[in-house]
Amino acid sequence: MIDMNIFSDLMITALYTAFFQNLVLSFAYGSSEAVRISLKPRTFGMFTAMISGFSVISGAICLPIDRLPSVIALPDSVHALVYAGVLAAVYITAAVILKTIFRVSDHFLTNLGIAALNTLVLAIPFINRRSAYSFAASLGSGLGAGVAFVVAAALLASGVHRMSENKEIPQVFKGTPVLFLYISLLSLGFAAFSGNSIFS
Amino acid sequence: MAQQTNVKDNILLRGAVIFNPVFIQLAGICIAAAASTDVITALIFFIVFTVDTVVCCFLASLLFKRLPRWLRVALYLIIGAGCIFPFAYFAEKTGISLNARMQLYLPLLAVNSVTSVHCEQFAVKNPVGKSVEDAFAVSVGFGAVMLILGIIREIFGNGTFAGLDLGLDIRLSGLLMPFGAFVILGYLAMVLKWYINKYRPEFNEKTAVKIKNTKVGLRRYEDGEQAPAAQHGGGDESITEMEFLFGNEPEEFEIFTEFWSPGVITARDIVTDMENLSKEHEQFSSETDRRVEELFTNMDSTIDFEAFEAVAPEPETQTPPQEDFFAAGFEEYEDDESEEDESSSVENESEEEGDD
Repeated sequence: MIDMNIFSDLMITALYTAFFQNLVLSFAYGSSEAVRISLKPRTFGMFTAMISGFSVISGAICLPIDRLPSVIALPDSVHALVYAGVLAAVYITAAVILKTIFRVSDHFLTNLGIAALNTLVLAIPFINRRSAYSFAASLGSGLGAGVAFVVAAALLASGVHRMSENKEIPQVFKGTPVLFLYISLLSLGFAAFSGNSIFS
Repeated sequence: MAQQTNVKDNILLRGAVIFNPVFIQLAGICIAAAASTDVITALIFFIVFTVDTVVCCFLASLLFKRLPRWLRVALYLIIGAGCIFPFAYFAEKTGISLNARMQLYLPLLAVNSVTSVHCEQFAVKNPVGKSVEDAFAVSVGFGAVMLILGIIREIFGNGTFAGLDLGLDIRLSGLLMPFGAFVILGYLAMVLKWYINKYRPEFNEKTAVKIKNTKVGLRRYEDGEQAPAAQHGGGDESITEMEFLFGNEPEEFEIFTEFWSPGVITARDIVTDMENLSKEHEQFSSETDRRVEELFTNMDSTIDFEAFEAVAPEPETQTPPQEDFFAAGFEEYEDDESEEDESSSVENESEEEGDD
């Protein structure tokens, strides 16, 4: 029963983070990277795994640190410093292991850096703390972040491809202008789940 | 011509406007879209961002040139966090009105992509003075976007300006959401594109984004699969060898094929060149990438893609590249595949002019 609760916590948070409240499109976390990766569909799987991995690991490390009695009372800015330190340590550790043991290429490590050091991954510990997530839920939010990223990248990739073939787009809107407008529509779609009014 | 020279020499104009980090390089979108809900917040982010970027670029140019890239990017995070911490702590202690959401986004500046992109693409390749100048120019460009967004979003979304109530009847609170920021960014990008098209046409090509329409029929051979020798320009090199030199990812072919012109050279020529370059460098480094790009850009001979492909080119390979759609600036914001970035191009152009 306990296991089921943990599992449901994890899954619900992951689904919520990925689909209901897509962190990339609703809050723009990691949006620069999503745009970049959207042009490389072959790398979707790799980036999803990397972002999920870093989000889960850094979130899982930060959560118990946050709950230390000596840390709880510290200002938010100090928590932020801790999260950045944890993320840097996790990334460097992963890079060193991959470099020395698995002898991965520098190109792979570059992608690892893009996946690890972005606003989406660094935001996860903050979100876990502010939402007072349980350990299982924090793992779920990390997993959901990776899925959210690939959902956003896939939607962007599809749109970019279609827009590139559309001859009716005015010249001055081609390129980044229409891309931003397209992202805004996607973002609006996910914002609809929040229930907030866009006029008041 | 004089005007062009001025623009090329004007690192501020180039860094802040022509190659704006948000509109052309598509970097820093998260912070720009989410944290620019009011003028004061945008101003605070502008200041913090400037400090972060200038310090990172300064240190990258001064100390990090010999470090591997994967380590440098982690250092940017640590330095960024160190730069931002005093601001965040001060704001917290003195009660400067950063709302809860902004308190979340401020630390995220430590991993903003603008800083790492410019550290990697410019600072580690240039002297300290130029790096700091570039960092400042980029900060101005990013800050300008933040401030414009902040002004528009606060006035029309909240009905205030710098916290003062303007008494507007209609408030488009949707503008305060990220989607509202993206709409404004879209129109601002349109204005920039119009400006470049009309007044700086020499930058049209460089700021236009191209979807990588570079399928040339190259494909990776499966393990054990032997390419027919006749299809390799008469040489015995296989695509596998080229893959070894270029890397294993098919996309990497796409990068290089952009630098080849239609025509014929043999696969042997390419492989020999690549081997020579590789010998000079212990590994297929970014420097090698750059030199290969130069090699292919400058060579007189041309290349016949069909000479070393085992499959017939797809129909689209025969069509000219798609109309510019996606930003070249994006490619500049790429990873190892495009080490020779726009910033470097700026440098090269300046040098060329100097030579002249």
